[in-house]
Amino acid sequence: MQTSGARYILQGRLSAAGTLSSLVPGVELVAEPVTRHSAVYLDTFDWRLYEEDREIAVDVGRQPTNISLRERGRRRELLSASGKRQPRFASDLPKGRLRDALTSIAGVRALLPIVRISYSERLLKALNADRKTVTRLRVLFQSRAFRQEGDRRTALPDLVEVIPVLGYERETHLLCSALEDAGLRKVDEDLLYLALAAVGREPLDYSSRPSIILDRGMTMDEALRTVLINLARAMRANEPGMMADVDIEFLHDYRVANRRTRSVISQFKKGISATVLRSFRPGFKWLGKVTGPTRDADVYLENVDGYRADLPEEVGEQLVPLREFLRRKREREFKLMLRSLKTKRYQQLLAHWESMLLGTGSNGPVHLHKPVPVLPVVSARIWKVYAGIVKQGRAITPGTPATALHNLRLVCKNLRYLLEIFRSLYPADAIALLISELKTLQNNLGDIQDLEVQRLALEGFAQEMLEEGPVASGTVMAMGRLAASLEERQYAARGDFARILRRFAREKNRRICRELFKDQR
Amino acid sequence: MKIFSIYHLKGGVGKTTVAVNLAYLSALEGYRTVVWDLDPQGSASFYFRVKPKVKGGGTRLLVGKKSALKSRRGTDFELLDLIPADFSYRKLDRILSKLKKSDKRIAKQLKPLEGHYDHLFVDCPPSFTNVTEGILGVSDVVLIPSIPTTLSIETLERIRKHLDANLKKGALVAPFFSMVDRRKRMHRDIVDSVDSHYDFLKTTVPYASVIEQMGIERAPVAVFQPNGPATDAFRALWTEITHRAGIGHPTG
Repeated sequence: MQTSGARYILQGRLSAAGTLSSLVPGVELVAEPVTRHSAVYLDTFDWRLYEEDREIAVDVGRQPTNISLRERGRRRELLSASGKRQPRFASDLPKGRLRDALTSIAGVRALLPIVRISYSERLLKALNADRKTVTRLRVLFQSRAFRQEGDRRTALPDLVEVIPVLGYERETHLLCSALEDAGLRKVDEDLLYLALAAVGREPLDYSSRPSIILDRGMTMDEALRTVLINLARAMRANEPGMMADVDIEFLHDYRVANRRTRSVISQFKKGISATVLRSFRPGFKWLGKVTGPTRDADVYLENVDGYRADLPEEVGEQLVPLREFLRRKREREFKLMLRSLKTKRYQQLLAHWESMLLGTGSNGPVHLHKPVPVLPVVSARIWKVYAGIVKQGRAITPGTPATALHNLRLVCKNLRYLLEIFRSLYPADAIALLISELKTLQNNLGDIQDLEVQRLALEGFAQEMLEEGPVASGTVMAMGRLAASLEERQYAARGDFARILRRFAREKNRRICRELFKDQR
Repeated sequence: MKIFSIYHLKGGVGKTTVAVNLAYLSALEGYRTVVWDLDPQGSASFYFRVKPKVKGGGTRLLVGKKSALKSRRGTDFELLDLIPADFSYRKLDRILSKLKKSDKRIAKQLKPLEGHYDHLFVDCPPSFTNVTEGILGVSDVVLIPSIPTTLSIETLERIRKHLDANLKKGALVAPFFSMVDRRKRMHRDIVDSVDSHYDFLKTTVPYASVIEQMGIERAPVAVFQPNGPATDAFRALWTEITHRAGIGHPTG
């Protein structure tokens, strides 16, 4: 079995694969015939495959199409499948291990073409005196990268990859030394990386997790500007995919960036200029409102399959009309959302926001926040929100109405945004610990509220479906059973709340928060 | 990881050729495969052109931490590795008997291979020892190549009795005819009339000179004769075994 090996750039007189043989005296190199490949490489918008060190290539010009999942830059297929066409989602693949593996990496995200590469490949085996293969070489040459058919193709350097054979590491080492002595330059980049660079793409240039780097020496104005520019960029990055409905995560990430923007503005509203508050707050609120129903429909559609798992198979089948109903509803909501996003109001909102943040507007640079240092203001805010959660949470008893839990959930969300956005101001491990503790509490509160919202929505959907036309009694009954099971789960989640809150509010976390935030005020 | 043991009390029944050829076909299908050449003669190692030598010998293999992983060698084929034989394996039983919890030792030493491989093929030595008992006790499939002779069938009866007491729950015991020479009347008669209680696989491996050529080519038959009765027989045998053992295709 092969392990990862070194990679070199073949240059000048060594560029032809055949000349390698003369490089290493005493080792016989046996070459296999050259094969030519042409493939489209796919990844999600947020580079989920690249991040996992995987690549997915779809052969071009062959029928059926071979789709293979490989360790990035390696030849060996980890899994493969054949299909009639290039898959748009992992779920488009035929049932099997490749589909399962891709689903676990890409989830609901679309698999988008990132680059096309055509290349020639020659494999060589280095044999010892027993004619046993002790090392393999893979030469990639005549490689070209391009974005799409018809584009200009950029030539990539020829590469040779040394693939060790288990138990023959000494021989591999000798071969590598010989290549280096011959002047070959060792490189870390694999063919995919080089191809992406050639077409002007940078791997990992988008992530749904904000990585905002702030400095403790910044003023509040500088820090907020950095944060909000970053969030505005995230909205812009997701805009085309959301409007073209490429996959549901574009809208989700867009809405998260909008919510984070609103949360930051509202958390620091006391110091933010009144003009800014007046000009933009209502706009962002409106944006949340017009994008909400489509996202809700997406969530319900995703949940239907989960719902099915909650019910016996034959009852679950009865939910197909519900799925269809939700799909139609989503289509309608999406059209309405698109209409709002094409208005002048929307376009001006974002354009003015960006020019205000960047200081490129007609009024020149605008003061966003009072000129105070960032650390005390942010720390005081986080401490206040944290202490508020503990106080509010402790006041909740089994008899408290659900609205109190709902309010608590909103405050938790604000704390989460604050911790995530301003994490670079504090020690990384302490923030990571707090976020993980907070997540547990948020999940519990989410269950309590979402299960109730879902139950109420189900009742609403049943009503709407009946208004649209006749619905099979089995479907109505299945939805009824589902509502009952959601209520049961909600009840169980509510039962867990006190224990989970106690854990969140325990002394250890309180001490960390005190040191990080209270003492920095 | 599924463990396939190729076992018979008699030598010269074609155990090694079956182990080497089936392991090759397994790797060809995309399963991460390793062969453990447990026979001190080292024939499987020879076929894969690997020196029959393990650092520290049998003692280290049975005692050392992760020794099975450390002793591996890559073969000429992708996804196919080998734990080579060592001449000291002839004393393996004596070494094992001196160890604490010797009955669990083999299973313990194989554990580190889990996660690295889908299939392990063990080419067992022709004997009834604590070592073979340990291997057979953890096997999912026990393949018993048998030459169609009266004596061989009688030996099979003894093996079955012994195995029944030692096998892992749900393990598949799969005897099959090997080195079948259909020109010989006795071979034909025995193959055609064997008692169904032995539950022989339907596939038989023929006696073929091309299988003997493995010693010259030092490779599985399918490598130097991709189309031929012997290769076809190994393919059919592998298909039948995977079907009987309920193994799906690695790529789905």
